[in-house]
Amino acid sequence: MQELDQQFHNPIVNVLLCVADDKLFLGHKNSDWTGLAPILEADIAFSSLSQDDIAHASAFYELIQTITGQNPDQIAFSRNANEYLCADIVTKDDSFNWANAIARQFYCNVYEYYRLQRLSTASWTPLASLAKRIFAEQVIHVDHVTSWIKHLGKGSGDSNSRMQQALDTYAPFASMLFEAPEGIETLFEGKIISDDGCMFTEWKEHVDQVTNEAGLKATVAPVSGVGGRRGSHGAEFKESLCELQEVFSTDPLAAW
Amino acid sequence: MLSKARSNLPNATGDLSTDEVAAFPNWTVFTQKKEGAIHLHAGSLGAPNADFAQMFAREHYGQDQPCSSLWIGPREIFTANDGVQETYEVFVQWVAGGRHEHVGVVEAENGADAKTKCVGQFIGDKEYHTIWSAPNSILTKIESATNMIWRKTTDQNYRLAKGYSRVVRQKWDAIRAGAAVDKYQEEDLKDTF
Repeated sequence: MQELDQQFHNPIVNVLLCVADDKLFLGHKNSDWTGLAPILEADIAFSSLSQDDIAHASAFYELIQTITGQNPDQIAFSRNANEYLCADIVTKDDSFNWANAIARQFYCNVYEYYRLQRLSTASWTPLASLAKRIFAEQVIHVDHVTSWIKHLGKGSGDSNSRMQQALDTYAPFASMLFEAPEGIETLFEGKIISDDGCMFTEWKEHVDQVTNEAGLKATVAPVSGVGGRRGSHGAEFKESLCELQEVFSTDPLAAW
Repeated sequence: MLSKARSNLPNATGDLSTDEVAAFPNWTVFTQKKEGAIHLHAGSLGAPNADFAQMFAREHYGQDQPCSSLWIGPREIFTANDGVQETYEVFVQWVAGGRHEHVGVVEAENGADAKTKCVGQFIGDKEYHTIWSAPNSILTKIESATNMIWRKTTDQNYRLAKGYSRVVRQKWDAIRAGAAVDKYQEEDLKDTF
């Protein structure tokens, strides 16, 4: 495996944790829908996509292991709340409202699409090749959720207004996906990963195009402030974390 | 372990009634395990339209096992005898209860003609149970060469019944063995004290 200079270790681990933690928690939240989605096939599909997300997270934790030597399960389940670097939108409760789940999934999946695309051009090849492989699967996730947005947007007056409301609810949290993790400038300067300055624009154009076509509107704007990417999380994240750690913490050294 | 959110479910409200969901059209799905293999009847699903049907088929039948191609069509087209002049995919169920398998393509005037031609071109004197035909223009075809179906980036063994059942059986055996020992000790202690 290509060696990564010591000075890049912490910054790259932060970037990898952002991806892995987003996917772990989004997959965890979405898996709550298993058995409860509005129609049987939607249930099977959403569960299948959640499994993917958790599998993707695990692949990123394994890549972190190659740098830090930590066991992937330990990384995933036994950190303190302020050591998780997901954006809080992934744990924002959907109140078992399907439109909410779809809005959260839409913002996050499209963001992940652009993030993985960027990471697949990383000069550190283990990251580039993993990101490229996961990106191919991310395309399916984006297609899936895009279909939902279009059908609900164009379905009935009721489905359109519920979808619109959900897009509005999640919009302010969506922008926090773009908060920069600590040390990312070092990676740009070292040409380890390419500067993602305009990713917000790409993402917004994509989101606007889909929502316009669906007769909906996503009011998203860049935000500043300290949030999940720097380990500062709200109450909903902490609840999710407790839930996620509940089983693991009964026996942290068990082989699952 | 149930999530806390699940213990406090809101009641569903809205336009979509249970009757409407039950009345969703049925779609028949064929899967091909690897390139060059025969398309086999995989099962059916309920979906409101062709777009949702293919979306659901990709996640449901496309992730059941390795899959390189999916064909999806409204259930009734397979048994229909009417139709128009075009290319039909034809499927044969060799024995009752068996899975329909794709045997080839025929140019036909309608469903009945497709089935007759299927006998002439692909069955001959052999015994068979039923024939299905599907007009090519109505079938939705997804090919993994251009459109990824089965995801192999990460270990997918947990999705496969055989991988899952083996691992789960081992774990249950271990847990049961542990429980048996606990029970024995408990009774042993009761007898002693």
